[in-house]
Amino acid sequence: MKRVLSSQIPYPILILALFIAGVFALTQGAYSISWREVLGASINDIDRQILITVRLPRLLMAALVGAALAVSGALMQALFRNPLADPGLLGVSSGASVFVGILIVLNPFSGDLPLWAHSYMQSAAAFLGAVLTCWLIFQLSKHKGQVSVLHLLLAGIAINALSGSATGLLTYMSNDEQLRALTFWAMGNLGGSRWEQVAVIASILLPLFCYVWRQSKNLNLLLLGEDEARYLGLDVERFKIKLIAIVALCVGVTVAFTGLIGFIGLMVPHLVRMLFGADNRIVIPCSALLGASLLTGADTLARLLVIPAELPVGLVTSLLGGPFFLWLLLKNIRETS
Amino acid sequence: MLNVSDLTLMRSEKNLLDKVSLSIKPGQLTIILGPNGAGKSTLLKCCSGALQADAGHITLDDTPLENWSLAELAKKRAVLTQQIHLPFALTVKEVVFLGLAPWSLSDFQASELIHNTLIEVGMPDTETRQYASLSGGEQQRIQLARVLVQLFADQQCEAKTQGYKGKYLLLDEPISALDLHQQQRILRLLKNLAQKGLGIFCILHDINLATLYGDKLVLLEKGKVTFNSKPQQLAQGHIIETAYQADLIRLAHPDNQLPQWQFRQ
Repeated sequence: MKRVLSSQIPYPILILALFIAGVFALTQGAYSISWREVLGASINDIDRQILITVRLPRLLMAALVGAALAVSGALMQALFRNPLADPGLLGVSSGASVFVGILIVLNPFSGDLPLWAHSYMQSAAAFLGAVLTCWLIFQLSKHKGQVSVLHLLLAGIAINALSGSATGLLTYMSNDEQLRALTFWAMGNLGGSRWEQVAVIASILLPLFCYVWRQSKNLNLLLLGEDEARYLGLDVERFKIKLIAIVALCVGVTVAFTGLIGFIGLMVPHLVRMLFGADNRIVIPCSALLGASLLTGADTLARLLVIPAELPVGLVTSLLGGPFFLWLLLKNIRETS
Repeated sequence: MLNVSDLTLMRSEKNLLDKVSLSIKPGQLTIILGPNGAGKSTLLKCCSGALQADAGHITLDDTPLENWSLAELAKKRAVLTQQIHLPFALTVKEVVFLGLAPWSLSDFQASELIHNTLIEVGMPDTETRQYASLSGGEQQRIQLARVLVQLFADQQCEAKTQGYKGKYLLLDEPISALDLHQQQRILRLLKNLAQKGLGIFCILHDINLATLYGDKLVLLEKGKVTFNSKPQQLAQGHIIETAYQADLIRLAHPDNQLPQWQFRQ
């Protein structure tokens, strides 16, 4: 695989892409607002209301969630030393979703919690589910000290199947209102993003992004293999645990707020590597930027395709990501044979 | 000095290493020989700190190996294992740069060191090439360059006069995929580094090359050390013939009379 562009120039391109996706997201929709109004000073009250209460928080949410999914994909790929690893494929997202499902349906805490506490509660449940599945996958796929791809994908299939049946069971037990919440949430949706949610998710994700970016040198060491990384001075066991916790946290909060949005974690780091090379010092920040642009774009498409209704964004990303994954798999098989 | 004494490692009731004692001295190229499955790579893993033995101990410069922190160890010794597969597309420079992880060099210093080391291993001006597109032998030399920069990095930032004293290189068959010309280049390079004070632990398969280049040979059989001396000593007895159970003729090297072996047809 040859990189297409030099590694010197990714940031201007990606920031421009994110900017364009952002303007596109703010202006387009069932009600369109001209880009002059968005960028310039002259804006009428209705448009400002729509921008500030609806489109801007949704845009920020899409950007943050897209970045988190892409970064956690890149982390899992470094952790498992495999470019096909992805939180969705391996069952981390669905594991997290089971726990949120339990929270929605069984509702062990009474409903009179304030909204922000409820948000954090869902995050905590999703985080717990994500940690548990990450750990489980790691244990299941380890073979003679190496993480084998075969075991990895099989563990993913098993966990996805288990989570599917658990979610099915929860669906069966739920009442009409819970059922609706559960179904829409499972398809992934950025609609109804509020500023409080943006604040919660940003307060968790932004520090994580900074930390991961600073660790990108160590992520590179993992590419050599665990023994080699240790010979180069990295405390591999501790680092792996930290990475699993970060992936679980990223996936946990995004799943909690937006449900299941697949394939971003697979597609984005792969595209970045194709364009700018596999050095994680570039892959990590570029994945964040590209993931943000891609999910913003996909969400805008989801709002535009069936006006006046809108599609769940998870459907759009799966529609794009499914064929991409197949292509990647075939390419991989052809290269190794 | 890297000192191994009475090292024993058990796995499923079999002794992979059985009271192994040896020392890797600074300034010496110590070559570990032995039939397949004798425990050579296991011994290397123990010496590099990746495996904990069940009995016996290893000291590095008089400090027990387990008391060294990973970060200190990474500046003190470098380890090259067999066959490193990289799942992602990195360039040669990016791969060699990973060897500088324990240090903090400026970009300029790093580039210069990588450039010079690539020349030493016979891969000049390959920095921008894709690692995955190289042949097995070329990849092996890139990995060697990576462990060499790990050891040489402080020469770059401090006075260059220290030599390589107090540093150790552990290599698991570093020339297994190389052609004749490159084997000679790398062995001469290792010999040269040893003369400058580096302590080298090197697993080799070729007994002729081992006797020709090694300062000391250690023969490992079924986890036990059966020979630990200078190569000249192998001219007596039939140690090599019995260890490998091969039908061999022993000759003396025309240049230096060191023992060499040839197959009987």
